[in-house]
Amino acid sequence: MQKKKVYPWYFALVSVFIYTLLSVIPGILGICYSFTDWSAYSQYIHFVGFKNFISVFSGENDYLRYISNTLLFTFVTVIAKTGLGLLFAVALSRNIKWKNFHRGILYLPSVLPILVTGLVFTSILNPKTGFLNNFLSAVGLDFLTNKWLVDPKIAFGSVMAVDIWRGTGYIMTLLIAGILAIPDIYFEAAAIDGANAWQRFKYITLPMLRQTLAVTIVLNVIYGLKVFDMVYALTNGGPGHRTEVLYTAVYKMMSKGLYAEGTTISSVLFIFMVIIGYFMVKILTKDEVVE
Amino acid sequence: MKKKLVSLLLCSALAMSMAACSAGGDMSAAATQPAEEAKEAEVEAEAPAEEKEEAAEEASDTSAAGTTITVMASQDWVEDAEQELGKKFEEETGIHVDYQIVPADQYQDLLLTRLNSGEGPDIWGAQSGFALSTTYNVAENAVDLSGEDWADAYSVFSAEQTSVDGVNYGLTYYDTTTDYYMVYNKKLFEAAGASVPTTWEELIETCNKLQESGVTPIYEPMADGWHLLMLWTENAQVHDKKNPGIIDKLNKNEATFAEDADMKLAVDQLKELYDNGYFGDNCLSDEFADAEGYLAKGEFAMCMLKPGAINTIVASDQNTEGYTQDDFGLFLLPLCDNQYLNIHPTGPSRFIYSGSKNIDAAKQYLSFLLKQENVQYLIDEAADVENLPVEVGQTPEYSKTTLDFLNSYDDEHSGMVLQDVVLYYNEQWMDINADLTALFIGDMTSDDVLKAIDDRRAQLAQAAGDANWQ
Repeated sequence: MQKKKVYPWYFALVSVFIYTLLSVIPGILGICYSFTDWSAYSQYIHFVGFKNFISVFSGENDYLRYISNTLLFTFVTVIAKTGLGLLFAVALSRNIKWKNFHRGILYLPSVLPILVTGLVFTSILNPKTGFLNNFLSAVGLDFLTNKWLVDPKIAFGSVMAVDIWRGTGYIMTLLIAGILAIPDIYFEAAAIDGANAWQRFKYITLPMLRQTLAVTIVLNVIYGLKVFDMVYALTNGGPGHRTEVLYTAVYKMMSKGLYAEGTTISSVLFIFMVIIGYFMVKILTKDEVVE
Repeated sequence: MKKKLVSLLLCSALAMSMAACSAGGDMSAAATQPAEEAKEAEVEAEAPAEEKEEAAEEASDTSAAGTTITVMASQDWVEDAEQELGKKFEEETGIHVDYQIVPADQYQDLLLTRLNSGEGPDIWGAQSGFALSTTYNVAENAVDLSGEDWADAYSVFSAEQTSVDGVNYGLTYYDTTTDYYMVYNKKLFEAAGASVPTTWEELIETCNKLQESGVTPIYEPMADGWHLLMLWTENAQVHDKKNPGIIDKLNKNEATFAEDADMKLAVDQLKELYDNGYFGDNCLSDEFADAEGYLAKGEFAMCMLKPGAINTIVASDQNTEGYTQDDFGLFLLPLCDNQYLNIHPTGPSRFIYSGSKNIDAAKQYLSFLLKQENVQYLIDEAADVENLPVEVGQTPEYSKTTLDFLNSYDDEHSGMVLQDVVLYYNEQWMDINADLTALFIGDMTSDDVLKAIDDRRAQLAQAAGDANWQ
């Protein structure tokens, strides 16, 4: 690319200024507050060093469990949503009957607000009065009925399952767009060479989808790390603290007026996101052509 | 290298915006209350009641008409009858009342987030008591109501619980003239050969007999996240009676919950009730709103409820067994053998947000609610309300069951509930409930639960600058 065709730096000035003002400065302030005793109970703020961070990592306050829950949620939902999304995308990018209808049905859950989805599923998954258990009992599958959102063994799995149900259609839509952008000529040539469906998927579809997959995975990871509303609406962190994640803990700290503790957990999340995000972008775009 | 740098910057930017989300709220707004409203409230508080009434009438005739005031409250804090009164209020004044009712398990977090970010509703509901100055920072977030026209009619005990430093900020609009006791079904008890328990051993025996007769002994709605703890704290008067001075020591940081063997026993007994299945299979999903229905169906034998709930049970559509008021009775849950009546003047109260643009209209609404005919309307129409903590010439509707029960305890056999006398306790109500659930599912021990209470008390006390915790 010719250097003179690059837009001058000052074109970005207004955007950078607004972004700095609204995101960067409050973000840095938030991190700075992690080193204080800022709370709603006192008008004075004192520097306390790493006290809040020590409290988070000391293992005394369950924060380590919230961190591991957040990472588990991110890992499982990213794998499942991407895997299922890819499966549906490949299936629905072929000429099958009622293709657009199927796509629409799968995309529909993504359109619903997360809180609405959460509230609807709270009702559906109620062990005594919910639709799911009543349906299973009605068709003779009583052994499959469960206390979906309150049994400590499966509550977090139920939350993740609802999130996967909600998010798969969105990933599928992005991947369909990616698959349709691959020129047919590659598939035709491969077919002439005798490649079967699996080989065409492995050697053409997957490599050509890498950029789209990179975007969807990064978006999913960020969503997973900051998950809040789905957990809040379905279990509010319960039973006990079994499904608590970092952002529900931040919310509870903030609402209690313990701002410094809240920003500390948020800062921990910041560190996770920088580390995970950096390596993911690096790995997923390693073969990208640099202009 | 350049690419690496761009990647790192992009990741940082994304994460930074996340951090900004949690820290970027206008937290200072609550601390710097609008001076104009505060002054206005002060001037009004000093003005004679008659002048204020005139001013309110004028306001209703002119400026306030056409405005909408928001009343934010937890589920079950706003009776249907109050919403009817709200319509009547709109007819009289032209002021529309928008009730924002939030599920109980989410209410406190949501309210505090709104208050702390300077976006409180015109009227907000909160439990009165110690937490008003710590959790809710009521002196900053609420308007002085000491000089309102209903101040003299307001119960002195309730006013004490809605006041901070001698200034009354709230109105307890809830039947705090009675508290929560075990409401039990006499017929189911008789059928099971069970008697009203007065000791822990008798309670276990009673529950076992009920279970054997095919009835689930106790309806314990844990899904809302607030009810479970009441089984203990509404019966914790026994701790102070057995160990006089313990409350004072707790408030001076000279004793802890974790060190108190009796409190550990109470928590362990709660777990025993759960482990024995006395709460039923679905208690983690059961909701408070369904309590009266389940008791009306005879599916459960007892539940900790207000005595007025007996009226609701009897009137319920689900009362297919034809139960009458005489079929239900009251007793104290003998946790740690408690037989001391619980006195609890605190309860859901209304506060006017100091940052509200509709302070006058909100005051008008509270005054309207406390007119004699409106208080009587609430008592008559809301089945579970027997009286309100005001004296405006209303006729209370205490049942004989309630009166007989209350009269069977003298002052020596009564005591204030734990949350009304122990500092930094009520503030963590929802947390303790979550911890008790964690205890039930095996994630915590009773020692962990009590230590967590102590830790949070210390955290709140230190944040509040309490000298006893420095």
